[in-house]
Amino acid sequence: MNLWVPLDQDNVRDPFPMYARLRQESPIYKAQTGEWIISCYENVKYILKDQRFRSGNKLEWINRGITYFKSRDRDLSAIATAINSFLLLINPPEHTQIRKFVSSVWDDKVVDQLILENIDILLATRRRGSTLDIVDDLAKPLPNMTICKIMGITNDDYEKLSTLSNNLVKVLNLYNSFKDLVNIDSASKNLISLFNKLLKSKQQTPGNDLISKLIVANEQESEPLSDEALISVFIFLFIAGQETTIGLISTGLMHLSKNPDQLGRLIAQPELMPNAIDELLRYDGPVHLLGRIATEDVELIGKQIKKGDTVTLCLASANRDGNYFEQPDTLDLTRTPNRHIAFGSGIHFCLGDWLAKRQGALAIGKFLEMFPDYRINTTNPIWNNNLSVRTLKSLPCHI
Amino acid sequence: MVKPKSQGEIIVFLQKVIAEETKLPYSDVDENLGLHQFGLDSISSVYLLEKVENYYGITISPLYFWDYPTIRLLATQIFKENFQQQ
Repeated sequence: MNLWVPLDQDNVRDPFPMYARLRQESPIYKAQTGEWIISCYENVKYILKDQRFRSGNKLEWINRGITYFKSRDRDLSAIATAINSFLLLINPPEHTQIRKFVSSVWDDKVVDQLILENIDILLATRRRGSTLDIVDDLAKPLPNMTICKIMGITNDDYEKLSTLSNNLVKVLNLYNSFKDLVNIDSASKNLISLFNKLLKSKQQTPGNDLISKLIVANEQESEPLSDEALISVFIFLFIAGQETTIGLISTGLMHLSKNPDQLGRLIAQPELMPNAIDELLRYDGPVHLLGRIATEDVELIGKQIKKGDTVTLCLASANRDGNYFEQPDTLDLTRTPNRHIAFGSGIHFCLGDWLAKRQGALAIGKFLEMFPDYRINTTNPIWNNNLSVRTLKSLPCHI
Repeated sequence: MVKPKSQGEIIVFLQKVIAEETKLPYSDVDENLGLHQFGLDSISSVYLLEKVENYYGITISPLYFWDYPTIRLLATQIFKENFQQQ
């Protein structure tokens, strides 16, 4: 029987039993798809830090797919244009250059006020005794509003941007159907056109926002990025914090409500919040899977990984590894140390970790302050059909 | 949209589509051979499954290409999941 069943509905709802079996029976598992599934903490971390494994398996697959589908008269090339400079998918030296360039201008960590204002807009009119959907009414609009403000995007079309980013992020899914690719292509075209307009207008009249700063800094580079690459960087910065933050806030509030003792403790001691966020990221962080490719033959605990093989790293499984964490399946907001790898490790360590944590902490903190008696209305919430970035579709609750 | 009465009908349709796709003679597309043996891969399978989805008006998991790696196994699963009378 296959141990790797990532598209099964039960496993999307709760993948942890599948991960536990993989760790126990075959921590380096050759799946039916030919890829290696890596589920233990030690091996996942090792591969993340080992330069013999590079990023970009999905980008390469997309590029091969574009060529193939072109021969079938289907043009999906916008996908590659949109994702070609995604930091997540590229390698040194290009990765080093773009990451350095983005970090050089993205130093504005004073975002608390902005995030709090956005939370206030979303929650101020909500009254105790009513109901709301944690995903639709808080977790989904918040990161969108925040990144729009940071990037200098007028957010008069939040729903549209939200749908586009939700469609594009499916490109990070392990396996796509043709219909997925058509949707991803359409989202790519829309996002490219939108960010192209922004690029042109901010080239004319730069503001004090991230896009303007990136444009100005790029002009000063000895080898500036092309407009096309710059637009891909914008799209990446825009979407990278969307689904992931939706996941952190909504999955986090769901697990807290399932663990009333921990929830009570957090309400009584709000200063536990930074620790709590790390534990929620460890316990069930939004990014479950990352892909890598072996650039040479590598032997790992007796398994021969060949040059060119794809490896799928189960971050969420590594974070539940009993050889590394005590009582890994227990949510313990006071856990220290907590060296989870929800943000990855090595040169691709998440560039937006501070923003994600801050946004998560403020959203969950404010929500608990306003609605400490919230109750999730369902025992079986609906998940989006994506295990790579795993998020709830909705989470109705009584406040 | 077509509603197959048996898995046999799906087998025949798959054989036809694979023969077209791979330019192999229809008689060579053995229902018990591995799909990889016809030269299909993770990309051409996406195209193949799309054709099957559209023809029967169903949704097929992209993983089925590997989970049910012969024409017979795939057809059996598709029939069982979508058309078998309970």
